[in-house]
Amino acid sequence: MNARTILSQPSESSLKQGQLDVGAFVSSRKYEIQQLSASMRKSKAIQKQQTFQVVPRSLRRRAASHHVRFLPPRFREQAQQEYKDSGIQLKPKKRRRITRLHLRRDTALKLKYFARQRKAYHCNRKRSTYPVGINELATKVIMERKFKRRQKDKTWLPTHLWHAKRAHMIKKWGYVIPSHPNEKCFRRTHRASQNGSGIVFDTSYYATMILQGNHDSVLNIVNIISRGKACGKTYLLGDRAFEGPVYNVYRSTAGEGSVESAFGEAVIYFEPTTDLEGSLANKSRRALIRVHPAAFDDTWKMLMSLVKTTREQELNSDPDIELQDCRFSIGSIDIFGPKSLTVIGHNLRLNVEKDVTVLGAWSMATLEGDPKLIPLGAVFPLKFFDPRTISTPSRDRKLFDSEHRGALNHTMVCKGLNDFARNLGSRTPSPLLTTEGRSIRVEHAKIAHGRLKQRRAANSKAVDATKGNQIRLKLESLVFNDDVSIPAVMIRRASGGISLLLPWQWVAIFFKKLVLPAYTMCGGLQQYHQILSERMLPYFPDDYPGTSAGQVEEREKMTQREKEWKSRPRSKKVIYDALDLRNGEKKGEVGNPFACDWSYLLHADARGEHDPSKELSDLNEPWMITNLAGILSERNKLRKELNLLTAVFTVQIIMIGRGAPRPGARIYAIPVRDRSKWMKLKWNRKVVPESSEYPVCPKSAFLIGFITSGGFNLKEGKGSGIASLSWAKVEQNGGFNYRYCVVRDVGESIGRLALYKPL
Amino acid sequence: MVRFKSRYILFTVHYPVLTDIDKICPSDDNASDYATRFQVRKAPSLSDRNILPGGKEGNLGKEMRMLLQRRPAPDGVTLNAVNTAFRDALNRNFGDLGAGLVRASVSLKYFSPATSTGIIRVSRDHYRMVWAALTFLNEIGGVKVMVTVDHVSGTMRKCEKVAISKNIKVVRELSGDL
Repeated sequence: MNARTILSQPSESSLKQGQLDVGAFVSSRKYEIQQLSASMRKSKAIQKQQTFQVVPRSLRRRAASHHVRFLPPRFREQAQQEYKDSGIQLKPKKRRRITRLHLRRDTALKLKYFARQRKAYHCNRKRSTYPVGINELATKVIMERKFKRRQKDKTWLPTHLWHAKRAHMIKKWGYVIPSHPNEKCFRRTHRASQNGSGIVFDTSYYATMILQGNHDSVLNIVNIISRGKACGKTYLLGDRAFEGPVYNVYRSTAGEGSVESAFGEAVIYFEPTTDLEGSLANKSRRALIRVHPAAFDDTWKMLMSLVKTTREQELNSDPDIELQDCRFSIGSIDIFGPKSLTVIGHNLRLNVEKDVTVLGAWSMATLEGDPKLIPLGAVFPLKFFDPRTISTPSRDRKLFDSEHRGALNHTMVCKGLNDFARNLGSRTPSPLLTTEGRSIRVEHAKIAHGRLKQRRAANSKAVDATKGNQIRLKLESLVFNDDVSIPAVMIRRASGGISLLLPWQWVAIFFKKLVLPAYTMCGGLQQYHQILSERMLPYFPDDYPGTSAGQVEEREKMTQREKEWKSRPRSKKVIYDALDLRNGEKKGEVGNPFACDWSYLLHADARGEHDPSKELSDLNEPWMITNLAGILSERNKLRKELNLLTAVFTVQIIMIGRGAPRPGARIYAIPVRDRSKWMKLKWNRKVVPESSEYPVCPKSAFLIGFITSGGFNLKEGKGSGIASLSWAKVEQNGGFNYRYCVVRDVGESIGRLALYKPL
Repeated sequence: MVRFKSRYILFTVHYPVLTDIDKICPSDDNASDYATRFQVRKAPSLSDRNILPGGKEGNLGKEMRMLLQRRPAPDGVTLNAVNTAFRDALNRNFGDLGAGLVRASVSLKYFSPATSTGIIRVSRDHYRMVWAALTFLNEIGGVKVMVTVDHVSGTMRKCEKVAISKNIKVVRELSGDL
């Protein structure tokens, strides 16, 4: 029978001798429903989808249409069949005539190969530690020696080769970093980080420094660079990692209330210690400081000079204090998403040194894996087994079923996490922070695979021993003597994700295991940016124009945009000089259309005229206010001491109604007499920009700031962004209490109503 | 290269003249389910006016009318009968030209006598002609009929989905409000 036939019932079943049987009527309807559904299913199956069409989009490869090798292993058998059926010409292996010359050449190649192996073996035996610069910058590490020449002026991340095949790479801050995956993934990123399984980033480009010395001197230095914020009790105990701005000590004009100029955000983690009592002054202590690479140079210089002064000062000098540059020996992986912990717990095996309670607590904690359940800044020093020696069920989708989530409630999970933290001995220092602790050599993949087989064999033997008694031992309970234990530190970040710090040589291996199941997404810089924007958090360096890193970034973007604009033909681009804002001012875009024009904003005179040749010098560059509330309350006192004219502060912008602001969009305060007009828009959706009632964009004197990141926010369901506003301008134009503003994209003549909220 | 596009027409056959149903009764198995609603009323007099969609309810309840509007086909209305009938209708109303235009592409994909529902496939260019022919269809296998078109779409799946949703509605109404 043709598979497309739909079966039907004859009418006799419901219509018998003049009696319409209601029950049978209903059942005949149900039967029809079943048959129609079956037909739909069958027709879909019959459509003869080839294997490589069923493969998820991110795993598809062009060559898979004729090469089985390029398909995931589970599809290969089916594909082989299909190739045969469809008569695809599989490439035959090239066979050449074997001549003596060939033999000699092959032997020579083999000898060379073996010589290289032996040499590498000897090299590797020494090389288990990765370079750390002590009081000097570290020499960078070259990842794949075969590609040494490509890494002359840039540094590859440990996962470079993996990313290069799947993402578009850019060269930034001396590193080659994935910018975005090859597929379009705007919504996919949102889903992965909000509802789904998670998104993983290789963030080894983050610069890690370890400050080591006497407790007092270390504390002192950290105190200085964070203005005291990183020295609370929980931070000193090592329970929590501090995440906050790191300040430039040298831009102080006066002692107190010095110009708060931040370099950027840092994560500062003190090595845990069990007691804070007693005389700690001379005990050795370590503090881990992680900064974004864009801010690294400045932070390093400042820390080095502080270390130098500490070493040479007369009182309480600490001759042994040192600053280690661990940029290339500690790498990290960031994971976002409500199931991050589950991804970690499922794909990596914790070494709990046979402590069953900890194992139980860990399983409980990772079952409902939302990192938001973990308190902010919580740190877990963990130890993992080599992930290649533990078998992972690769596609256990059941883990991600929503039914699972219903079964657990949050209290159970929190309890699990608490138990885990308590029993883990989070007060013991992690070996990750010492060179010896980190130097665990990575074995060749074949050896690791051999261990995996060993484990499986031992497991099945154990099962046999219990004579088919279905107790399957957890593979992690089988610990062999030569198992390596890799130290890691897991930090819950302010952005809602988890950072997993690992030794550099292990990052690639852990990364591959975390990304292996196709349900975890992998992202690049753009995705990281998108996730932070959706959560309305600032992204370094784009959203920090008050730092030098932010200014550099802005300048680069400006040159890029200008270049692109110039290369386009006149009819296919916006002509900024002809922009008519219809507000009585002369035509043209306000300030440089390719950038957030801070020099225009801060230094234009009252008429809005500005000399673009006046460069931003060190004295009048914008600097970032990190403590807005504090300054607001004491502004009169501080006005004399701080140069508030060039201060900027970061705000979140939410659009009211339509519009998604792009970076560079201009932000205006609303003049008092226009306020009612703009407020009308809030309630009356019918007033559309084309109508005459729509208020005109405010004049350039009302410009208060620029959008640094913006777009449509899938989490909020409307346009949103992060912006920086100039303190002086906001004060001039209405004060800090009236939070409505008008946002106008560069090149647009329409402004849109928005609300700003200081961070 | 142009794709061949077709339209799938989901139709229901109605029988305005009731000759063979004397009464509606609940099935013996689940006497409790439908008993209350159908037994209380007296056997209604079923006539043309009451049954047609859009007709007055008269002495029929809503459920009764629903049943009768989508009643199973009487004897004589089978898949083959429907097939011949509507091709005849095409011929009669649109002549040899009309019938010839569509002959290759038109086909009756599904017809269920139990529910009087069917799906016809036509090429996209001539579906209105087939629709019209269905409208003019008076008689199938000796039984007076009236055909209404429920849904037209480009894929079979959508027609199937609509048929399913209509069935679900009927089932829910008849058995759901118990």
